[in-house]
Amino acid sequence: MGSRAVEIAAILVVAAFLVLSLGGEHPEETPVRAYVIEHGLAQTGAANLVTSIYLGYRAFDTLGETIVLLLAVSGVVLLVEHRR
Amino acid sequence: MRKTDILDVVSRKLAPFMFLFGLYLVSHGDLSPGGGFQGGVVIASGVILLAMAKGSAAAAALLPLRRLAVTEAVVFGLILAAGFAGVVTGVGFLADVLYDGSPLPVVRTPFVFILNLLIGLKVGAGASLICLHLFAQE
Amino acid sequence: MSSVALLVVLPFVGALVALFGKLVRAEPLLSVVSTLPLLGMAALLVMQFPAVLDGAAFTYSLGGWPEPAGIALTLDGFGWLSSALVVLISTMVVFASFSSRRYRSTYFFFLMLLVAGMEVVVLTGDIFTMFVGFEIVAISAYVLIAFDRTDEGLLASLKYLLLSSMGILFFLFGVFLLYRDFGTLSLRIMAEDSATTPVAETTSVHLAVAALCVGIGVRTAFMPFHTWLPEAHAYAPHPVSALLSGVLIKISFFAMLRIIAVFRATYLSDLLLWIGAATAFLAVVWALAQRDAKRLLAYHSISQMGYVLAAFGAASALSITAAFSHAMHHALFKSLLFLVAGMAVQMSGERDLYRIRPIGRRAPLLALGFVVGALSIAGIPPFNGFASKQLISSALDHHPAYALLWITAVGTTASFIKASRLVLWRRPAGPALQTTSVMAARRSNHRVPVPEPASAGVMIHIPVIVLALLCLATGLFARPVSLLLASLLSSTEVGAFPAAAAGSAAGTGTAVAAAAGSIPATFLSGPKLLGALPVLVLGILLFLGSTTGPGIRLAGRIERIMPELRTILLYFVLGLALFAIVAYL
Repeated sequence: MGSRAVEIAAILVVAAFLVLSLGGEHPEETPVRAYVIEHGLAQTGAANLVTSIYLGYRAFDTLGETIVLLLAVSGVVLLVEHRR
Repeated sequence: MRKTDILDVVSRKLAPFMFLFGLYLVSHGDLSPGGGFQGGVVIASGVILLAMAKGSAAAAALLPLRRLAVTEAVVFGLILAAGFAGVVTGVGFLADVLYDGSPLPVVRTPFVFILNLLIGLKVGAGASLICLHLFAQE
Repeated sequence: MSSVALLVVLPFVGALVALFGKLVRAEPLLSVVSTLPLLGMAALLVMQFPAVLDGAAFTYSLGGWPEPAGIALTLDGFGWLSSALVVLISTMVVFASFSSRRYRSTYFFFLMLLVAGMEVVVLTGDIFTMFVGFEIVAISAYVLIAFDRTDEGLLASLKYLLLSSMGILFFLFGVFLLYRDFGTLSLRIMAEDSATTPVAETTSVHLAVAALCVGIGVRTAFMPFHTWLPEAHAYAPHPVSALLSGVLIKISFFAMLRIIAVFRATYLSDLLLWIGAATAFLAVVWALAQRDAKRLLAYHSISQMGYVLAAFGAASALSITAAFSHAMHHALFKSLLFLVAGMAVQMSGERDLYRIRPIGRRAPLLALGFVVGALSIAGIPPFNGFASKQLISSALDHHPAYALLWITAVGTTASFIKASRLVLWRRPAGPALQTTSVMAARRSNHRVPVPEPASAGVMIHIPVIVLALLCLATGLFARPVSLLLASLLSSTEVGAFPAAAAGSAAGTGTAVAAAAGSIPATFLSGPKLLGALPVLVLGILLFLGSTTGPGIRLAGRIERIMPELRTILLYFVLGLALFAIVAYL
């Protein structure tokens, strides 16, 4: 019973954290958003602005994420193969 | 596990279309929603569908694991090379080297297209590889 | 191409070479080639050193995209220090890995990507790229911990994976909150905004910073988040343990300092100070109770990071220097200790301190290296631990938390007298050490499954000698070294933090002057040497106490307290609540 109460308290803590941090007033127009909408097409040439971000402005992050995938694949292959 | 003919037939008919759709997503990433990551995963899901319907041995016969691993490694190298191409031509790491200075917007952006293609290949190979390896465990 | 970008990209190229080593079946050659980028990085760092020391900050916009939308890499004093640490320790670990001859190019693939990830984390000026760097670091670390595929290694890796994935989830959530309010991901622009606009004082930004600290806190392993570390660092392959304890936890710690400094989160200072002191104290209690050589060292890593955290929490110009200097020194002596301990475990096939065959006679140089490391961590002059603990004690002058750190120093001394069984003592202590069945069962797992060659080899001596000499040198020349640290940090965001904490806008120049003024003129004066004496004496007494019957029973009882998965997750939430409450109030 006591342990159940602790678990519920933990979930409530996380929930309270999420609710508190998501509330409040926030600007709708942000600098990067304005910048990309204004220059995205002209600077990268990609008609799709999402693409202009992830393969233009932030191509390095995309490279990083493909490396994360490569790591995950190599890790699974390595660990799975030798556990047979 | 007992398999029915329905699964077998449907997956065989469906898989080519999934590959086609994946290729479309990869190749039109600069124009429409989609791109390398999404398209790659769609292609991989086609592979997974085949592996589930026909057995992992059949899927591995179509796409040998080693060939997938080589593809992934080579594509990783090519992506890094694409990054360094910008260094060699002096525009900077991972910068658009194929942009010739013509007034934008152009119809297609070759550099983004190539990057999408590479990433699609890499993600498709990687995701298929993980799943085929895990299927082979059973 | 600018040196900043090369620092990040070179290790990726190394990883690529290692990847092809496996495919083209030229493993030994390509393994060596894949680690060569470390040399290139070292050369770049040396080349840039004079400029960075003058306060220059090299910035490189990736892909040529300017900052509000693009990603910038920045090499300033902070980035230089962190990169130098990464390159130095990684090179040492590479030597150790070659010496054991078990690791092929797959291993070096993960190792180089770990290095690359750490470089991304420390050099990026963009918080989302930092997240990507942390992900690269994490996944390579999971695989490396489990690389020997022992049961303990796999379990430790899984534990780390669960906890740090939760942590990084909160980190990503924090990034989202920051982007919502600042409208940019660039740390530089966010720093400027939080200095000039009131946005940094809103609840949601405070909670975002708390979320970032929790996410990184799991990687740094201070107290409520430390639960994964003892197993992960103890059951990883030996060179990997040295790398994880030496560099990885420091890099995440530095990243946390940087985030706190960027958002001027002075409200977290006191919390960090007390968490640090409590971490140092509690971890040393557990360390004292360990029988397993590598677990003992792992608990000491937690404990020493507690020192660093407490020093940073004091938030003065001197305390920042003290924190960095202790972190650097800890990297040197802890990787030294882990390398020798790993070698000793490998040579005798036994991890239990009471059963291990000391390596003193078979590998005297390694034993000497271990002694140097043990003297350093115990804070015995003239080694570097003494110097940085001096700095910490003057930074925390008469603060009540310092009492905890002082007791920790006693415990550290005692447990390293115990650990010296690894290298010096002849016979296992007598039958008083018959223990419960739980421990006997665990001890049987401690046996290293694969029999190892019983000789040390030549290659392992290189890193041990280099690290031991560095421990001695940074201790002997403590004043110039700490002045160097202070001036490297002075023109960075982290260096400007104490000024922000004091509420003044005067940033850079004053900080270095203040730090230089308060660094002691000499570290090895008579009274200070005498000050180390009570710690040493009490440490010996504590060690003797721990070898008596009640001491051993107590140690056994403490050692058996092992949090299970549910408790670990509850600890995580507890930590989250702590940070959130402090940030919210």
